[in-house]
Amino acid sequence: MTQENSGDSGAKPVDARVARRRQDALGRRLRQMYDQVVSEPVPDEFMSFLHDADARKPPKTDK
Amino acid sequence: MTAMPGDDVFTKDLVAAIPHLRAFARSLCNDPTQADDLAQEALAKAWKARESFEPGTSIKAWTFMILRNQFYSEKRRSWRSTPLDAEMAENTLVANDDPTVPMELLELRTALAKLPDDQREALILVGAGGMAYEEAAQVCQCAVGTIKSRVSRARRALETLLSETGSRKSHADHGIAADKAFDDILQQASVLAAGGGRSRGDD
Repeated sequence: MTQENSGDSGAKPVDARVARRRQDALGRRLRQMYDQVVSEPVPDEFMSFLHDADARKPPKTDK
Repeated sequence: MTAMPGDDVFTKDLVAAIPHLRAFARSLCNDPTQADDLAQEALAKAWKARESFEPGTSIKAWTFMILRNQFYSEKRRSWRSTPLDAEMAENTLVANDDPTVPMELLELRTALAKLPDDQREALILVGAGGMAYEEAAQVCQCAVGTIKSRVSRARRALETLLSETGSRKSHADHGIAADKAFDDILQQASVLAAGGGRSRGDD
């Protein structure tokens, strides 16, 4: 199901140091992408929801 | 007057999880509005199911699991229109002229969108969200070893995808080596992200 071959002439083997550096950079980038959203202020809708939800608290859980 | 919302531990923890829910949702859907809708729905579900939460376990993993289930059931319902679709993400990339969205971020998102669902979510949880493998396994309801192998496959695949973007870029630009272009994508992105968000002091 995964496509191993991208159709290009194939990735040239990169040495371990380069690969490591790329992975480090990739990891940093991924965390930044995520952290950026985490540090955004939470929109009001999220909080007003809790008040709303509290008012119609379910009697008890089913399932 | 009954207890105000927000004064019990569960509610406090749930509220504290909201920024993470949003970030997880945003990583799954490329569209911020859709992501927030998803996060809000997951929050509502978590609230309703609060009795089934086991105190002492990770509320983050629990809410993520709810969000994830929600996401995939919605995706099944309307998979044709989901912006997660790689082709659509590519179109978004090409059509991007919003100066507030850095090109590099879109490149990363586009590459992420091309990964198989299971690999993408594993990488997001562990690589982006910093979750422990065990917690991520809880979210995805699979074995820890499965998560580990998905993460490492995702890392390799993403590297390949970004190298390809890098090659295309270097071809389009001035023939810079693909390697260099790849590094540029990530480095420029880091600079932009650090400027936009709050940079971590430790790296």
